[in-house]
Amino acid sequence: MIAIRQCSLACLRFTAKISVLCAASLCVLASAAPITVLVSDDGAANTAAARSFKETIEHLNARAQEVTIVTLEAANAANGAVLRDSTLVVSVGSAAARAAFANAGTYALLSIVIPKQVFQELQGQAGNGPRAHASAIYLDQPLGRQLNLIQAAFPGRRRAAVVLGSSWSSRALLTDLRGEAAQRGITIVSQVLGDGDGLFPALQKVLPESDLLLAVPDRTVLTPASARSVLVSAYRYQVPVVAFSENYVKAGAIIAVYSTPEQIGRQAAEMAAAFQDAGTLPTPHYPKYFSVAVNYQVARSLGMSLADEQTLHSQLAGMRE
Amino acid sequence: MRGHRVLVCALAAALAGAAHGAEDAAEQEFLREVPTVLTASRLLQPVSDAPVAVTVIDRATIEATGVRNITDLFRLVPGMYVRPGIGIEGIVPVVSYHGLTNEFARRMQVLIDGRSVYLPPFSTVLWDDLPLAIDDIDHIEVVRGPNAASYGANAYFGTINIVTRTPIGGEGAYARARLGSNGVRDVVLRHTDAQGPVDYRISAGHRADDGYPEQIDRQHHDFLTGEADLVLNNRDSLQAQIGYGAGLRQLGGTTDPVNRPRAKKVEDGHLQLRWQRAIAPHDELSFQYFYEQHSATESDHTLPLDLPGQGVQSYTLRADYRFDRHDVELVRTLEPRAELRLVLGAGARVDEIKAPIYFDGRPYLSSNLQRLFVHIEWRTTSALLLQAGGMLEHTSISGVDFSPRICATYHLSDDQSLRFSVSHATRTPSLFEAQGAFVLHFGSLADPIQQSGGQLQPEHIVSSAVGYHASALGGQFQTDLKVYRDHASHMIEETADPNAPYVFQPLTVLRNLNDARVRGAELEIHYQPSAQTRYLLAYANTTIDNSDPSQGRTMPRNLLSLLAEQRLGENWTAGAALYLNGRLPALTGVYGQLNDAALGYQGRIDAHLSRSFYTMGRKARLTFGVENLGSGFVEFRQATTFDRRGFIEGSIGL
Repeated sequence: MIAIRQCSLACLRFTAKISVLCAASLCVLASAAPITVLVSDDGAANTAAARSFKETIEHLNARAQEVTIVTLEAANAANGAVLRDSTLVVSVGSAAARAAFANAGTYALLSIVIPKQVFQELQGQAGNGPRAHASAIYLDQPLGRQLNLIQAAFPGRRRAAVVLGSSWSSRALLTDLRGEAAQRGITIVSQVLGDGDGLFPALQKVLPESDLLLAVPDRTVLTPASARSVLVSAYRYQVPVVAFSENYVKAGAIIAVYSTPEQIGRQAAEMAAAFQDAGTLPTPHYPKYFSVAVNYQVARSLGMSLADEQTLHSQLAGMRE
Repeated sequence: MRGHRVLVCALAAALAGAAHGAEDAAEQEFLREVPTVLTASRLLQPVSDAPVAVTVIDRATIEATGVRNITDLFRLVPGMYVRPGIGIEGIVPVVSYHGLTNEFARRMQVLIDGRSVYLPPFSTVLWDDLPLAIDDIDHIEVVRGPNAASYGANAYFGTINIVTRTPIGGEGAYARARLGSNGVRDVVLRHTDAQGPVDYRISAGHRADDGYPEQIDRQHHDFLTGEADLVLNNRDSLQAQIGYGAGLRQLGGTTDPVNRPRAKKVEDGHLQLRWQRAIAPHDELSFQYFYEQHSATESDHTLPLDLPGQGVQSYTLRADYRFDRHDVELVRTLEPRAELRLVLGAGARVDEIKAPIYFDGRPYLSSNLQRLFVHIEWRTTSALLLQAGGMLEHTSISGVDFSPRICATYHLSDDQSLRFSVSHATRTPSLFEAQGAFVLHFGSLADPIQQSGGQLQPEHIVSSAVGYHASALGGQFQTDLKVYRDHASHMIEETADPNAPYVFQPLTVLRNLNDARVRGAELEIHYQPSAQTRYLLAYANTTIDNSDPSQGRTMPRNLLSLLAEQRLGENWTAGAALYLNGRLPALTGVYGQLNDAALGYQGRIDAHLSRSFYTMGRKARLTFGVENLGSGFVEFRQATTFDRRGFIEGSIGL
C-alpha cells in the first residue's frame, strides 16, 4: 500500500497539467521566497488556514512579503522549483505534506491541517532523510484536553464508551486514552471492531454501561454514513456524544473541542515568525488554540444543562493537559 | 480464472488510486460535514419543559410490562382508561383520557410517526387493525391535555404519539414468538440493515387470540411494514414508510337473531413519505405526505325472522366500508435566537368514505380540511419558559375553528418546575355524527338504528392545569403531578327518539347534548434506584360531572398502576405490574338495556420472568409470564372478563 502511494505521488508530480490553476487570491508564484505555503487544494479549510497564516504573519512580522502561497497543482506544474528555493515550507493538508516530504529541497517543513496519524506515517517513511526534523501542528486534539472537557462539562459522568478499529494505531490510541483517563478518574468502556464486526452490536455492548460516548477520528469506525448510526444509537440510550469536530456537534453530538483551520493557521504563522528569527522549529505538537462547541438543543433534550461555550473554553485553558 | 485475477488486480489498482485520493483527504475526518441526524423533530422535548403534562413510555418500560397489546401500555398513563368496547366493530379496545367515551374513543388524537390513525367515519382508532408490531415502537409520547394548537382539532382530551424505531443504526435480524393460553399465537420477524445511503427496516408479523371467554371475538391479524431512511446529502433526507395489515375478527352474539356470529375481514394500509431539510442547525423544513386506507367486509346472515309484511325469511345484512385519507403537511422549525423557538406549519387533508350502510345508502362521501398552525417557545430567562400556540382549521364539516393554547413553565431549580396552562380545543363532528344514518333494511322494511340530528356544532373544551415536575437523586427519581379542570361543551351524544318507528330497538339520534366538567389530579412517579431496579407508579383521581347523569359511567374515579422490574444477577429479569380500576356505577340511559350492574374494584396483576443468554453468538431471551394472576378481571362490563393467561415467549437477535 505504501509503495502504491509513493508511486502515485511521483506520477502526480510528473503528469501534472502544464496550466497553472490558482486558488482564488491565494496563488502568487514567485521565483524564490524564504517561506512557501504549499496548499493541497483550494478547499475551504485549506484556504482558511493559508489566509489566516498570511494575515497573522503580516501582523507579526515585517518580512511578510517573503511568504509565497502556492497550490500543489501549481507547484507540480513548476516541477517543485518554488519548494527547492524555500527555507521553510508550510504544507497545508495531507496531500501537500506528502509532496513536501517527497521533494528533495533542503527546506525546513511545517505541516498543518494534517491528522497526527498521517504525519507520523510520513515521518516514519522519511527515516533519517532531509525531513527527519519536520514539524507539524496536528488536527487532532490532545487526549488530555478531550478528557478535561468531559470533566469540565459532565462532572458526574465517569464512564466513557469508545469504539475503535483494530489497527495498530487505534490500539495505541486506546492504550494512551486509558492512561490519560485513569489519571482523571474516568473509566473507558471500549469495544474494538475487527474486520467484519458490526458497529451496532459494539455500540449495544458499550452504551448501556456508559454515561457518555467519546467519538474518536477512526476512519474504520466513523464515516459520514456510520455517524448517523452512532448518533442515533447513543441518543436512543440517552448517552451524550463527545466529538472532535464542530460538524459532529451540528449533526447531533452534544459537545466537541476542536481547532479551526484559522486557529491552526494562526499558530503556524507564529511558529514561522519564530523560525525566521531563530532558524529552528519545535517538535510536532497538538494545536494550541481551540474552540468548544455545544449543541444546547441536544443537551436540553437529554435533560442536561451545560455551561456556555466560553466558560467551558476558559475552564479547559486553565486545566493541565 | 487467471483472466479474472488480472481483472481483479486491475480493479484493485484502480480502487487503490481512488482510495489514494481519500487517503490524502484524511484530514476530512475532522473537517467534513456530517448529515444532521438529531434534527429538531427527532429530539424529544424534556418532560419538564413540556407545555402540558406528558407521559413517555420508552422501550425499557414497554419491555418491563411484558404485554402483547399496545393498548395495555396506556394503563401506565395517569388518567388514561383502557377497556374493551362492544359495538359494530365487535369487541375492540378503547383507550380514552378522562373518560367520556362510548365504544368509539372519539375525543383523542392518535398518531404513528406523525400519521393520524384517528379515522373516519366514526372518529375512532381500531388498535387491533393497525399494521404495527409492539417490538417496532421506540417510545410513545402521551400528551395529557388538549393540544389542538400542535396536533389539530380532535387532539381534544389528549394525544397519543407513537414513534417507531428508526432503521438508522440497524441491528440486523430479530425474531420473537409468543405462545399462550387463550389461543395466543404471535410471531414478529424484523430485519434492519443499511445499503449505501439507505437505512431500512422490514417487519412482518402474525397475531392471533381467542378473545374473552364465552365471547365471539376470536381474531387473527397479519401485517407487513417497511421503512427506509435515505440520506440525500448532508442537509436533506427522505423517509418512506409503507404498511399493510389484514385480519379476521369474529363478532356477533349467540342468542341474538339479527346480530349473528360472523367474521369481519379488515384491511389497513398506509404509505408515508417525509422529506426533511436541515437549513441550518436548529432550522428545519419538512414536508410530509401520507395515505391511509382502511376497509372492512362483513355479511350478517340473520335467523329466519317474521317481520311485518315480509313473511318468514332470513336476511343478509352487509356492512362493508372503506375509507381513504390523503394528507400533506409542511412544517418549519427554527430558532431565530437562542431563546426563541418557532414552529410554523400548514396542511391539508381529504377523507373519502364508502360506507353505504352507515349513510342510508349514499355510496360515497368526502370531507376535507385545511390547517395553519404556529407554536412559539420563548425562554425569557433561564427559569421561565413561555409557550403559546394556535391552530386555525377549516373543515368541510364544521367550517372555521381556532384553537389557542398558552402555557408558562417556571423552573424553580434545575430539578423542579411548575407549569400553568390554559388550552382550548375543538372536536369536529365525525362524518357519521354530521351526516350519518345507520339503517338496516329487511326487504322493504327499514329499521333505523342511529342517525345524525343534523346541524351539529363542533365540541369545545377548555382545560386549565397546574403541573409540578421534580427530579431528585441525580435523575433516579422523577415525579409529575397534574391538577386540572376541563370544561367540555356541546358534546355530541345519542338520545333515544321514542316517536320514530322502529323494528327491534328505538332509534337513537346524535345531537350536541351534553356539557361535562372533569376535574382531578394525576400523579406519575418513576424511580430507578440502580441499573437493576425500576419502579413506575401512575395514579389518577377523576371526577366527571356530566349534564346527563345517565352518561355517568365512562371511567372509574380511581385508577392506579404499578410497574416493577428487577434484574436478578447477570441474566435473569423479573417484572410485575398491578393495574387497579376503581368502582363503576351501573350502566343507564341508552345503555340501560345492556343490564350491567355496578362494578367494584377490579385488579389485574401481570408477572413474568426472563432469562437472557447467547446462543450461536446471538442474543436471545426466553420469558415465562402470566397476564392476570388473579381470577376474572372484569373490564367495564361483565361480558368482557379477562381470564388468567399464561405465556411463553422467545426472542433472538439473528
